[in-house]
Amino acid sequence: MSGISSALSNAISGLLVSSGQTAVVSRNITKANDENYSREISTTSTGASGAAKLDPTQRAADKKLLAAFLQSTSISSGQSTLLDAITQLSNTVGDVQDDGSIAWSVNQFQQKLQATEADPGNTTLASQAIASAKTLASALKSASQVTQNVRNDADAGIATSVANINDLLQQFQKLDNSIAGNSLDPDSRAAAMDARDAILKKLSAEIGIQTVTRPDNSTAIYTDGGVTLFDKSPRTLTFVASSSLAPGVAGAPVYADGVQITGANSPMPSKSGNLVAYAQVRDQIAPTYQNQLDEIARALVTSFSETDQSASPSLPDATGLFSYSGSPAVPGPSLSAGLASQIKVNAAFDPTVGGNIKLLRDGGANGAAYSYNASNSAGFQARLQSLVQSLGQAQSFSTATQLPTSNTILGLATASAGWVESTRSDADSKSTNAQAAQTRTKAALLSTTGVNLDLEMSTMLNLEKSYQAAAKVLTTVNQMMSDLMQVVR
Amino acid sequence: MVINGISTLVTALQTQDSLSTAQKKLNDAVTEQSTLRHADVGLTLGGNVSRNLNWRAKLSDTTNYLDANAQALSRADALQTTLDAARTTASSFLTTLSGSRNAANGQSLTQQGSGFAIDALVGAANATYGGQYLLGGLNTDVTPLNAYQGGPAQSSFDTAFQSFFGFAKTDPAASTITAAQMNSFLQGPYEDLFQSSSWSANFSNATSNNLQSRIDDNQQVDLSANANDAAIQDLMRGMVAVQEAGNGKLNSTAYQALVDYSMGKVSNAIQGLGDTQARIGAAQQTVTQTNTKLSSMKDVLDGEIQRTEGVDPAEVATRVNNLTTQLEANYTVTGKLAKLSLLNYI
Repeated sequence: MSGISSALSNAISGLLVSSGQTAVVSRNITKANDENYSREISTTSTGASGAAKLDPTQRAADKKLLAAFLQSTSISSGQSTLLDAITQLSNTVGDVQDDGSIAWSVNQFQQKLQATEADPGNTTLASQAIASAKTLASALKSASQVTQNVRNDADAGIATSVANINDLLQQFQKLDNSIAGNSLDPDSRAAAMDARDAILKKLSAEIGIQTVTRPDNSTAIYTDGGVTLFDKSPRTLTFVASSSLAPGVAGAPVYADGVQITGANSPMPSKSGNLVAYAQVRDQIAPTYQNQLDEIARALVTSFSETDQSASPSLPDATGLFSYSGSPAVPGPSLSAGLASQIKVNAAFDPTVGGNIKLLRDGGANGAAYSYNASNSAGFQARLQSLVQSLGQAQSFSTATQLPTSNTILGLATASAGWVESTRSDADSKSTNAQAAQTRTKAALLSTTGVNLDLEMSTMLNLEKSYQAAAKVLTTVNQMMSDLMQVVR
Repeated sequence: MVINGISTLVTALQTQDSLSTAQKKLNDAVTEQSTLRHADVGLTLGGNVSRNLNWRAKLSDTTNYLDANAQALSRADALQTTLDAARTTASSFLTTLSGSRNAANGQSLTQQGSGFAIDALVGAANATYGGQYLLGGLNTDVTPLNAYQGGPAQSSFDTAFQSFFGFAKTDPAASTITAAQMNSFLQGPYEDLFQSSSWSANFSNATSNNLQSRIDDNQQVDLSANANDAAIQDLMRGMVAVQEAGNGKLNSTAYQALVDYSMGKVSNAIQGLGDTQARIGAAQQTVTQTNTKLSSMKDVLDGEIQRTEGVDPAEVATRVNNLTTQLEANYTVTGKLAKLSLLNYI
């Protein structure tokens, strides 16, 4: 009789194994569309009694693919943050055929000034020239405003990113400690590991990371610059957000575990992720563009300044058509931070606020000593001629513009537009490439760890068959037993 | 043997990805088809944006110069007409002078003729173009020549005549003036009336320097003349002399000396006006040549901008077709893939 009873116990263990495996299949199917879910694999083995038994479920995972995916995520999200910021800057340039760019405003102003030069007595032309000077000043101002907004947004972005990272590290600690503590049942453990990987994915979007898994399955996290972010316990990122960054004022750096990880002075700089992209926008790209705007503004203010025309000049040079917060003193020959945000057309010239249009032709906005038109001729051309000439002449500009240092004002404005668009074009192609790389690594990772519904369905068919077979064995044994009972009776 | 099936999620994600990529491309191509420019010109040009902005600035300057030059040329035409009028006045006055030199009623003829001629000259010199005086030099807002009759010049003449001869120009004693006396008056006190400061005080409000016209980035030309031109001064000398000194009282020798002086000055004036007209004509020629150069530059710039910012209509039409086909294929594949599931067979 031992044959029949062992058949019975085998059939029962078969039923148990099948139902256990069906549970795994159903979990896999339920989570098929969760990209953070790692497929569970159930295997069977033969127990000591010779019956089939269910092994603990395995979790499909691939550390190398995960690491590659985390890296590509950092790069891709950093590049796309960078591209967003630069696109905002490039809106100040607009389409080359449109009338919004600073280069266009400089060009228009130059033409109106030349028209006035050809016909100095014509107040209509002079007022057009002053109107286009106002357009130019406001174009510079608004571009400067956009640039500062981008900088302040980036600063706020760093603050958000830092808060996000600190929060994720806290969540990571709970999961990591419970996984390392071995206190979880296998199912919850797999779910915890999935959740832990999901946090790593989120974290890598903010900052480039490297992970090391210890023998007890706990994971340590380092930045791609090598600073510890997590090892048993989270390290804190610290950052002091600025409420409003003025041009020329540097923002605060980010510290991780007491080590500076952003900025030029960082000993272990982070290399990728949103945080780094924001820092790059705030500390390099936007300030460079602001420098370019400031230099254009400075050149305008200086070119239109007036000199003392007395027989023996004693008064200092003073600002003319374009003024700024430091007027009437003429700005020095070096970069003056934030000048583009202050430039405006001197009210003394502006007929809409009671100014005198003829000052454009004659000079003298700072008093009679500065008047160039001694004979008060309506057709006085000399001052306008020298203004037109100085607009057309190459001037020297700061190297902080990252553009050729000798240029005309128009040349600097067009070069600046070219710089923005080339930065954007570069960021766009890098971002496209990084996204493609991320898509590929994601596909590779999901192919290893993800669920294939067809595969699960066919497994289920198999399980159904073995369940049916085991059940058939049970009914057969039952039949045999009852046959035997009949004989005995 | 373990075969990792491709994850069902990957298939779905990749289908979405390729669909949205194809849609974005099609969208851009359709935009390009309607504007015939790149969908995002700044992105396509990158750093070359500065080059294109320079081209566009240059193009705008060129168009501007062409407009301004056209205006300068028509102003110069108006000036030529004015100078023509002054020259015609001078020529016909010269005819009057030579016809009346030996005539019995010559003095009254020339006096009358010179009166008309002076008015005609002042009228011509005070011509305006676009509300501005053509011959004003830099003083475009005041009449270049003062009216002569009753003006400061006439009383200055009377004073000079009185103090040189000791009697007024209408005095019968004028018949005693000899030809030599007349000549020394004309060379002396009369000439002083036309020296720079008294010329400005008596006759002219113009400045001696002209407005310069900028015709391209590097050239400025003088397309103007002013009422202080030596030819206009000579003409005035010749006309005022017979108008005032030839007052009907002179003896014939003194009168003939006067007419000879006047004829000399008027002939000089005709020559001088011709020279000025030739100078302006040469400048007009320069402007016309520059305009030809500017027009061809404009065409070149237009072409370059179109070449770099534009798209080939045939190419973009083909691209739209190809992308449409590709997107349709994508939809078909997506539909088929969605149906392809073991679920449908069990």
